[in-house]
Amino acid sequence: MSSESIGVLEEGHVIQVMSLSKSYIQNISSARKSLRDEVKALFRLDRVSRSMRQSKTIIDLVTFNVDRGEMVGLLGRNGSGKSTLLRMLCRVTAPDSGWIALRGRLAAVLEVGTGFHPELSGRENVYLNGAILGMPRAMINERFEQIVDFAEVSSSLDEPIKHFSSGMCVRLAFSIAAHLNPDILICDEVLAVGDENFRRKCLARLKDQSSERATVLVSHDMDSVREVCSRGIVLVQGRIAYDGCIEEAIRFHRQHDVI
Amino acid sequence: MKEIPYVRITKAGSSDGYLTECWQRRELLWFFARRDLVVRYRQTALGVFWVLLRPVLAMGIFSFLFGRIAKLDSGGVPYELIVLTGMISWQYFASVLSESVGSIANNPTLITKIYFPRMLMPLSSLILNAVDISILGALWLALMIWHGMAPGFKVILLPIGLLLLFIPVLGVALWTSSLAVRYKDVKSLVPIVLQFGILITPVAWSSSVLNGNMKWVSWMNPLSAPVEWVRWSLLPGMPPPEVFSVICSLLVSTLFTFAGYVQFKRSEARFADVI
Repeated sequence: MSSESIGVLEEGHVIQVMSLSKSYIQNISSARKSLRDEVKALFRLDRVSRSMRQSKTIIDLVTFNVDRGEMVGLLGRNGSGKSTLLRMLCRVTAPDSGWIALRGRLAAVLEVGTGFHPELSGRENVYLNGAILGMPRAMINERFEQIVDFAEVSSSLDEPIKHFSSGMCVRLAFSIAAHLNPDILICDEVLAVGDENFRRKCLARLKDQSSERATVLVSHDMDSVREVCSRGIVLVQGRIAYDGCIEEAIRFHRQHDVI
Repeated sequence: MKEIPYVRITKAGSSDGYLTECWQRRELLWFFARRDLVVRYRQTALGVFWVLLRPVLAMGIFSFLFGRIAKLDSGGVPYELIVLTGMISWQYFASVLSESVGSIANNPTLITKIYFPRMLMPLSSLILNAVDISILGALWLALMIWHGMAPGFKVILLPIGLLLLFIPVLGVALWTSSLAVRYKDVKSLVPIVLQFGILITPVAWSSSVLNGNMKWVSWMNPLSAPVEWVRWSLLPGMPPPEVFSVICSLLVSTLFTFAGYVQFKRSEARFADVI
């Protein structure tokens, strides 16, 4: 790889994504390969399997930057590549080509409550989930009261999570994520959680803290996106079809959605 | 404005050093181990006795089979102690193997939704099961006092035996946890390895009862040397492990574990795609 294509993160940008691509290899004959298939392929007994592979491009040469203080709404239909892009941003999966540069601590909430264990108490889950999301123990200690107060679950903190109502679970999970205070925050569909009151509270919290960080948000709830984001990026079939002010982006997305 | 370091993510992974990153996230290791420990014993009636049940049963059955029926030479040491000190090592290997094999494959939501160095998941089972081992250690101590025996000064060499044990166990955890993500076959292999491994490893017998070629075959097993070393350091009157078997075990298991680390790192980036 030449030094030019590796690139350096420019001043001011917190997220830089350059010519990012990813495709999945689809094996038509069997979705999940067994050891037997692999051994067969190894001895070339099974010539068909290779020719039947097809690759599907999910993300196609995507390039954009996000600066500190920006809140970006990522829009697109189901299957447009939003989730895959977010997964690459938070390093769950690696790109096929191109690169991403990130300045500072990143926290991603692709699903609320990832890593919650039903047998553990609310208190234990705050620590576990916090640690999984990358919060040092000292920081969790410091913010524990805030997290619990924000989630409004202080009365049943020492009960196992399996006895929590689904609303309580989601509130606690979002509250942990909301108190991470990272430099880069990535959220996928997390605003669809809880009741109207709690949703307002979450949006307010996201907005409050947005000036110090870069936020990338995916949501199908256009009202929420319009409320908190200043900029919108529309993905169509893995490419950036529109990048600009949020109103225009939503209009573009809606037009495209109808077709 | 101060310069905040940045990471670059490419096809090859992140620009941060992998081991540095594991070290930075080491708290997670404790959290995973603690979670599994709490979950394992909460809502169990017998709690910690489950840890003791298997080795105690093995102790009874193997002492009967090998000590009473086959009348193997134990050098004057009560046969149940031979089995117990063998089980300390074996139980560690067996528990880590059976837990780490699913440590990644059984957690698709974690793997597809959030990033942390995946190696922490199999590694946490090495910590968790060390707790169980110390419980077995307490049982050993109780039996030693009961029989009025002392291990002698060579007990200070126990850590070397544990290190010899730790290296292959680490390797097995890395290999099986990463391979099981793509190949479900690995999971089916584990019970077989455990069932026959306990017999071909000197757990319920000491390799001093073997002669000639049989000894050589036994030394090929990388688990032989650590099992024998641990037993030798814990019991009086046991023959020391053969130098050759120790070197052989160290060499084989270090290579095996290093290869496991490389294999794990190489496949890690694709875990979320193939799980």
